[in-house]
Amino acid sequence: MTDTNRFSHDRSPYERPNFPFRCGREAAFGRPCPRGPTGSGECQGMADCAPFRTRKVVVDDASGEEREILRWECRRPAHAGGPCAEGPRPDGACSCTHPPCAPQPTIRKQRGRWALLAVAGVVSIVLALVGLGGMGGIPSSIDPGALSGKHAQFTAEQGCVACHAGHSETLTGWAGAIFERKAISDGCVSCHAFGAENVAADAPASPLVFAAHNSKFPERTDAPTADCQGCHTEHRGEHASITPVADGQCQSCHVKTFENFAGSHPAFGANFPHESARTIKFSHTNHFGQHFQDARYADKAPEAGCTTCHSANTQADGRLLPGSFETGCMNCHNEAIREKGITIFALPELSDPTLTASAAESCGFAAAEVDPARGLIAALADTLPAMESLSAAVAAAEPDAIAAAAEKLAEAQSALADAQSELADAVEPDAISFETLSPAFAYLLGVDADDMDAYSEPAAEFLVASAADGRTALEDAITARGGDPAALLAGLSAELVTRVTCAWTANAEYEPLQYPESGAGWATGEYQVSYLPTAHADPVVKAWINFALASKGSDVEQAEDFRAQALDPSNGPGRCFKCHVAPEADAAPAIAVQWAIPRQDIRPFTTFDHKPHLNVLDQGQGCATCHKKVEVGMTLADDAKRPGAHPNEFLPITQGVCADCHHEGGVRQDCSLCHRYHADPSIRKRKL
Amino acid sequence: MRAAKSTAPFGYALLALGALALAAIGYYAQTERLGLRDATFVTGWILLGAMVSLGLFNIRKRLSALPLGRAAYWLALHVVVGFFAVGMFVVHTGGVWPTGGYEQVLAGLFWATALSGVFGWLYQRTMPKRLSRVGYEVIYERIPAEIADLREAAENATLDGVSASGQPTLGRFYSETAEWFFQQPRFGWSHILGTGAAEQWVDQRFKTVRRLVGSQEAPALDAIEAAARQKLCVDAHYALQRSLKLWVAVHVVLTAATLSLAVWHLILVHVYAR
Repeated sequence: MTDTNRFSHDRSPYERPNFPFRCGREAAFGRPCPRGPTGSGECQGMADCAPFRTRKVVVDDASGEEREILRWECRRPAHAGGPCAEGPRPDGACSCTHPPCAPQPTIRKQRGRWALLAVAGVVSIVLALVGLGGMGGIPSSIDPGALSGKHAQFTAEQGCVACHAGHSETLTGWAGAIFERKAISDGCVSCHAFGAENVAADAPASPLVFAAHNSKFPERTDAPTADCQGCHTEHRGEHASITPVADGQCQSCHVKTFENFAGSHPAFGANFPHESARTIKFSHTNHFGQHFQDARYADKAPEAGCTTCHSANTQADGRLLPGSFETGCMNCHNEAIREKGITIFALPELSDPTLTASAAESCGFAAAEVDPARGLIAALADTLPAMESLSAAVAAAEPDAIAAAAEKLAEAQSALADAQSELADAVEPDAISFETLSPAFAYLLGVDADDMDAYSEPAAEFLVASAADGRTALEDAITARGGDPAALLAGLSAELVTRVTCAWTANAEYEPLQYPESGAGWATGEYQVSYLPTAHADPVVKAWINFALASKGSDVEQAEDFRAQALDPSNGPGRCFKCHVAPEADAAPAIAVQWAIPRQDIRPFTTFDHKPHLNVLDQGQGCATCHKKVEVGMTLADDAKRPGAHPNEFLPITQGVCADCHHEGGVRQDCSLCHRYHADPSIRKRKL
Repeated sequence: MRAAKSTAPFGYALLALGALALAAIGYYAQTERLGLRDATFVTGWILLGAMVSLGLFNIRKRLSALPLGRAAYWLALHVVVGFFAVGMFVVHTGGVWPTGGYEQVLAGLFWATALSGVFGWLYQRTMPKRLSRVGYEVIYERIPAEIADLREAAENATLDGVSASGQPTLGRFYSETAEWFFQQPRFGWSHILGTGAAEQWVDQRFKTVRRLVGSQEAPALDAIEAAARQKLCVDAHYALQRSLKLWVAVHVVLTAATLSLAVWHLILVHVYAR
């Protein structure tokens, strides 16, 4: 039975758990001394008590004087037996002495020591590993984990400071960091760019770089911005994916939320995935249904079917773009390329052929052949001796002399008559060319090609200037129309221009050095300078087409005729538009031809990888498992109103086709499987 | 003496409040994550605040003279905030185990602290019942003196028995067997685990010696056995109370190490966030 009174103050020492030390005898489970150790751990048990000196004043009965009595009193506590019989010694020392003990720390005291030791240990290890970390495989105390493989490569040289500017700062900078928060994303965009215009090494980061999808959504002005770290968490190991996006992250912004793809994803477009505006007018129906069925071209049919042009093994962005002209079309269509030349300028019929006579000095053509006045002078010079001879003969009245003089006079008269005739021809020469101004020439001069009186003088000035300075006049005229002479006249020799125009200013046909020419590049005839394409995608022809397109809306005379000539689909450069989609007739003036198939998809946030799907195609169907051709009599949504569009040849792919496999319990159907967050992501060029 | 008011309602209210706060913060963090924003700084500071506030419980014990409320309320607060901190850790890290070297050490220390706390919480809840079952009460700091008293009583009884009978049986029994038992607390693990080995040891030893003593020694043997059985109670108190104190020591040391490394983590994430 517990004696509840045994811990009363007179039976038990005052002991508390928060005492730092305990008696050494007690630690050995002996009887502790009544006083216990001091707070600093010194033994007080060598004496049972600390005697107290009392002062008592007594009055002497006899003398009546007051007397002070000083006495030491025992202060041993009651629980240790109370005051001892011996009492204190005269010097105040306790008479009950014992050998000292070695007080021991209590568990509480030890706990505090261990805690301090732990703190000191952590701090020491952290500081030691800051300095030694990374050497000889020693882990660093700032190591937050391995970077993903790609980032580990490019940070290998610079280390942490490649991304963390704070790594190289001083302790003061470290201390200040707690009050200054700066997103690390600024470092990310020094390498990562979104949009082709931001790819250059020195290009500033796009203002939309942190905007939702790196894009501007006019209808969603409240679209949030996001730091890179919102999705991409690094230091999770070399093989960790740092690009996972949860469906919930997509649906936190998107208004149309849905449970999953198979159940409630919005329906695909009416012509998905063929609704993009085409830049090449390729008819699968004609080629496979007509041309390749023809015995003459049967050997040119693609051997591997669709994948001959649309390789699913080399392209991963989902759009299996066809191969190039050289690999896919050249076998049949190369010859037609030669037929796309353009006449730049030609010698027109001038109202007065002598308008170009001033070029004689710069061209140096022979004045004797063309200057009738000098012929007349020469004829007169020949006539004067005959006259003198005739006068002398008459004076001498010799018949033979008279006959001889008369003969000379007749010769002089004949020469004089010829000179008179030449002079007359020189005054009013015949034109050698009866051509009109070429549309391009008329547009450059800004004159009416049908009005000879209007164009003769500026055309003659142009020819004289060209005869003197080669390409300069042509370049000036092109520049005046907003064109780029370097592109439009690439390869045109200034000497060729001089030779041609000198001949024309001399009112003569130009005789080409090699005629007929090889059929490519700059070509000259008797009366014209033309350009014939050297190969597919000839840059000069493309430049002239774009130059013609740019003339739209111009109030310059003949702009429309020039454009009609350049873009005529039946002849000249316009034949390019048999395959390439021409800009709409009412398109904006500055629109240019989209020659290549655009890299930028009209669905920049959607992706599709054909490769994993090749194994699930139907036997014998192949690509047609999904891409079914339109059969005769089918009606599709009309997409012909869009710029450059032509009727679809394939049926649209519906959501159900995908949902056959991508559904709950089937193949994954999360958003990021088909959609990507970033718009046109790339790495800046200096990193490539 | 008026019975102390139960802290259960207070504890349940705190638990509900903590769960509510954790749910709200978890919802906030998830919303931020889904909105492509980083909430780890906010959750990290809340977690650190929770960990520091847990340390206040230790300060409360040091300031026992101040009227800061009953320790039971503070314990309830400590337990609820402890569970809240565990939840916040999961919210903050998005999992239970990070990948970085020092972060793994930090996580290890945190989980060790948390698990030691949960263990101690459950352990100290069983303690009163087990100590009550002992049928004896003693202050931990007085146990050495209690053992000294019991040893002295046993030794005196032995001397009395030997004097009364003139036989050395009791003397030999004490010096060869009982003295070891009375020297200090024995059978600590047995008392902690409740195996009964200590009681069995005493039963066997005294049953054996009782066959060898005469009627004159029997009263002395009875006194020695009574002292031994009393010491069994003292030993049980010693083992149970000491294990509780050692557990607190482990918990406090782990807490100190965790907080130290958490401060380092705090510095690093701010410096390296730019």
